[in-house]
Amino acid sequence: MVEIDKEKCSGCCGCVDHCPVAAINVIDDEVVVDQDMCMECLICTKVCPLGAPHQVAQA
Amino acid sequence: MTELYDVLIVGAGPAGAMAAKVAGENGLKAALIERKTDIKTIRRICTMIINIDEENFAEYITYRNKRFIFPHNGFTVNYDGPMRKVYGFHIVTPCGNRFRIGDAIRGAQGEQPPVGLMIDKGLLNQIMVDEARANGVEVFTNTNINNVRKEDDCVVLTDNRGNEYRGKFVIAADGVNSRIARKLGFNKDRVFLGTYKDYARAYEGAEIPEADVLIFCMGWQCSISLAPELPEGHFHLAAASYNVYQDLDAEMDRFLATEPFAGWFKNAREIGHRTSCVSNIASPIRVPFRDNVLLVGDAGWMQETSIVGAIMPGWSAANAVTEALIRGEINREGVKNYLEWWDKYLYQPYGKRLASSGSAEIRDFLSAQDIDYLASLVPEVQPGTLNFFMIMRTIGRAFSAVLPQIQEERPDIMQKLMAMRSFPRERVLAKRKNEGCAIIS
Repeated sequence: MVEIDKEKCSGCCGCVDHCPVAAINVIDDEVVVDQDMCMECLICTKVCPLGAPHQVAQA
Repeated sequence: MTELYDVLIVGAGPAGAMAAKVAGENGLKAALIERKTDIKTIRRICTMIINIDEENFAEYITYRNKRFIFPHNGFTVNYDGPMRKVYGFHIVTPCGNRFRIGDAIRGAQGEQPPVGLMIDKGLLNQIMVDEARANGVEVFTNTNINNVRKEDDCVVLTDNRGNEYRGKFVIAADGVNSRIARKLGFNKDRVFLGTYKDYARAYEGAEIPEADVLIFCMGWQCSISLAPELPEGHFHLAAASYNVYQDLDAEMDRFLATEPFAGWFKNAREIGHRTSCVSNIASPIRVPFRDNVLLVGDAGWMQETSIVGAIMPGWSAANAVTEALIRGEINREGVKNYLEWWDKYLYQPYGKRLASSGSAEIRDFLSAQDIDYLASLVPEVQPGTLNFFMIMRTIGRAFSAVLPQIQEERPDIMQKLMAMRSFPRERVLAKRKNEGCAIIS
């Protein structure tokens, strides 16, 4: 699954805009991945200049 | 059935905030929808400049009595906040040579007027939104619009919580990566020009000569730029590339370790959070209308319509929607004034040209030393401008005048310039597509 590293995230919303299935949203000014919708295409990890979205092993 | 609005506006940037303000003043039943909670905070990289006292999209903006005046279109925008004068655009080469468009030294002495005012864009947006709200516009923050569909009598927007908003018209001001434009299929007709990945660090205490200009540093493995920020002595250093796999951090560190730039940053300290911005760049849209949705600002452009180029379409679109509602023409014919305005002032003079952009990267053809040499050929200060198209024209004019000298002194560089010029556009775009993230929906 994909998570956002809140320390790195600047809130620019580049990943929010690029997500093909709108699985990433801004909620209370924090970028959040909806795990039910995410299909792990990893486009967000590619486009983020700060490396905030990253893939982690399923809990 | 939820309420039916006259117009729904998506995005509270300069274009959307202005459209909401005008919709409010015109007495429309309107709602403005923004995904952030705090409109005032700008979290993307932004130089926040309003171009003044020179032509921009046929408008000549001035600032007087706490408001920006748009005399050609005939409206004003209130702003009472911090400002800083900016005198132009400089290109700095790896050895420190400068190609100057605008004189920062004479500017600081009051001998050259500024061509831009740096403002707090978040505050400007907030002021417009507050005025909209005072005129009855409903503002929904913390709301992400993720879908759009057309029904018989209205357009329906859906947010991330599944709530629906119905409007006779929608003004989409959701920016360069507009999801609404994607969902409505606008991107099928556009040329994909690349994914621009941009990243910035903020510094205080940097000692940068001739600082009150935008500085573009050439000769690096990515675009490196330096821009003053509102507080005196604050700058942001940005690195950007069309290659999303490139290590921008490493190149920025290399820049900071190289003279003369290392000296500029000797006593500097990094402050604040690092900022970023990712734009999928596609050619401007010729007709920014479909299914009663009007695109304004960057949503229908490429990137960087700039603040003034966003405010003006916001104003024009909201007025066109008002006229359509008065006449009861809830269709393309109803908002034809906006479409004509967009075509006349944005698309025909500039959008068409941008649509065919996509030239080869200079760094693939010229070495750092080549760039140092070229900048040394034109030591004269060029007339100040911050209009992107004028900057390009100024560079073109200045260097076409020295082409015979280059041919004479450095035929090798002349050859490289010719090779760069004739490099096929399809190959540039194919490379950018491989290194970027082509628009999908």
